[in-house]
Amino acid sequence: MVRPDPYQLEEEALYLGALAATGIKPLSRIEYPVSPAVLDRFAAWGLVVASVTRFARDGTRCRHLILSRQPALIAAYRARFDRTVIAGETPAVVRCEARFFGYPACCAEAFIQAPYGPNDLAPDEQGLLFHHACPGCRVTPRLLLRYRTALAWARRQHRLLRGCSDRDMILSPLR
Amino acid sequence: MLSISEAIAKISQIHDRGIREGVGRVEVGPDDAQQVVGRALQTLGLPEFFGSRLSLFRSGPVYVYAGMVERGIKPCPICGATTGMGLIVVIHQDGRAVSFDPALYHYADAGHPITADDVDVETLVAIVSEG
Repeated sequence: MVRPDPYQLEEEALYLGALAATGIKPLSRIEYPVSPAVLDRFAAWGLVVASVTRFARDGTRCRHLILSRQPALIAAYRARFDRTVIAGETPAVVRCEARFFGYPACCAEAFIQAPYGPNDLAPDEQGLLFHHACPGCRVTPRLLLRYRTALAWARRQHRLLRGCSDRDMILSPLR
Repeated sequence: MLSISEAIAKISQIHDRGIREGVGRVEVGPDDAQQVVGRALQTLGLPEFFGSRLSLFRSGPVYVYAGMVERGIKPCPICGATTGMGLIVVIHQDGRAVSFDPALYHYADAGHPITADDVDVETLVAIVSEG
């Protein structure tokens, strides 16, 4: 089975944190455990972190982390999803998650109609995103530079986290 | 004849081995592979692949195209395990092609049922059985 690399997952968590800290994503969700060092970074970036419990169909309890600069969004997400069964990608879930996660509404509607249809992005652009851009999307191209910047920043933070202790750089303002 | 779970597991092995070892990785160029994959993606109504970003793995006549695996992961609705997102495209060099959610790699691994709602079972099993 193709398994994600733990180093990449940690970098991904920092990327999601960077996107939430810059407000590109109003709220990010992480479906796997992260280290205390990563949680420390999130706190340093001004993020509110909370856990959400979900249930799989077989009864398995899953703990997800949600991150946002806005406590009200954390509360709203928990009110909608905490202690609920994972329902898969129904249209209602896709629309709701799109609002929380900052996906353009046009892309969410296109995904509901025809998931993963052709779009105008190059693979390296689509690969930056957590949503699939719709054909002719006018919103996503404006987000790409911000996503790219956040990813570069997250990767730098990750190298610092794992490779050196330049505290000033780690704690420097993201925005 | 392979079962659908065995067919998915075999695709997963080709994909995994390709990532791990680079075995079977096909560079994009004006060659047969590009034409075969390009035609198949067009048939499936999927975006064409671009340049050297292509993630294409090959085992005999079977190509596994992972260029539409999305960033991010999602929880399995059956057991809560984390799974991939996007699409895996499996293509036979004769042009037959089928796509499925990478979550099916996990389904096959975990023994979850895989049905015709998840993938074109008949086409996938036929392609992989000949690979």
